[in-house]
Amino acid sequence: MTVSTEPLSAEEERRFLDEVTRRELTPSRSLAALLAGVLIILLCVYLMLESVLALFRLPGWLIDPDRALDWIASLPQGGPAPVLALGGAVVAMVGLFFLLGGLFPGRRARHSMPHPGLAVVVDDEVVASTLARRARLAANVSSAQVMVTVAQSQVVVNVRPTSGLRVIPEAVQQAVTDELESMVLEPRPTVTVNIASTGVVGA
Amino acid sequence: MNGTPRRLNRFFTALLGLLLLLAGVFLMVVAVVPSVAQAWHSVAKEWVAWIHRSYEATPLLSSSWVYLVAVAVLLMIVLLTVRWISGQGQGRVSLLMDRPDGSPTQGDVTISGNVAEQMLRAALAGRSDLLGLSVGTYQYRGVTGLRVRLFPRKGASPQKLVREVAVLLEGLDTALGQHTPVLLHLGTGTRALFTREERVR
Repeated sequence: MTVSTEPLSAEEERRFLDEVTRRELTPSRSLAALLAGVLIILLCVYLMLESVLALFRLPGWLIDPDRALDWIASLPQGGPAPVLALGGAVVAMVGLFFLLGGLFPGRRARHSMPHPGLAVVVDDEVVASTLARRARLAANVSSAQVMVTVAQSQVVVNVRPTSGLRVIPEAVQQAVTDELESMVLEPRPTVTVNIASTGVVGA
Repeated sequence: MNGTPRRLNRFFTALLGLLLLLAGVFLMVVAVVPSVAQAWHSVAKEWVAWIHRSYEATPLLSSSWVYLVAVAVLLMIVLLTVRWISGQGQGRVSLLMDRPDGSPTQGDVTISGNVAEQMLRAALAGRSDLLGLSVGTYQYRGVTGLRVRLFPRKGASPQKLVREVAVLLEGLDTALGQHTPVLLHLGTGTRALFTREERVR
């Protein structure tokens, strides 16, 4: 790859940054690729071994190609039917794992934060910890009484109030929404606040 | 920002998945449904006969050169697969700036990516809302850019960090005399998991 000598125009750079952001938000499927590659290589090396043995008329290591063909051609007779069916099911499941990983782009637990000059991505955990802090301050409880989960389009705030002290759900909702608005996440999640009906004693 | 060939990854994993799925389903159906097994036998018998005929039509060393062709094809597949797998996660470079500057003086100026890292580290050293950072120089689609990973303390405000680091990055551009595209990633490293401040994430 050559180094570009010309600086990018503003428009080109924006396109570049958007592309980089998009890549950061989706998994690279490199683990699935690695597994698939290892599987393919092992299979090919084994087949090569048997082919070379057959070429020199030597007995096969596990099974020679002739007998393998006959086994496949007479298939349900090659072994007990339940074992064959079970083996088929396992192979199909592995295939389904690879197929779904390849067909669907998937997404990482991240949001992008649109910025005029940068490509910015934030892990959902970082967002959650910030929102938890805001919710804790708004509800006036300790940090162990707040749990925030951030999904792609939804933020759920669970608060367990201190026994005897009322937590105003609207105040928590407002605080968390304010914080979220100022982050300008893309895509923007909605906020749900749940106040537990049981309190925590002595918190 | 790295050069992982994502389209290839998805295409080949999907292809392998499809083949395995078909093989598995075939095995299940043949084992369970007798009528399919019957049909398979009659088809497979012809195929096996055809393969035996082609063995005998291609003699070599009292065997057949079909095997030689098979070995060559398999070797090709192995080499291509190795090439595909070794392309994962590549694209890291060490030089942030490396281009002819067009001046009459001989020689060119190159700037290492470590310069950017050291400058950012020094500028962000005293921040209490930041646990650490890592800076990498990457080349993607022929463009050299920085990937800056920030690990904020729990509860730190990401928008504030982004705003202030963006100002620092403008300063970096001024200092280097060249604009660099930057990917800013606010993440949770292992250190953030074990530090106090916000126990609940």
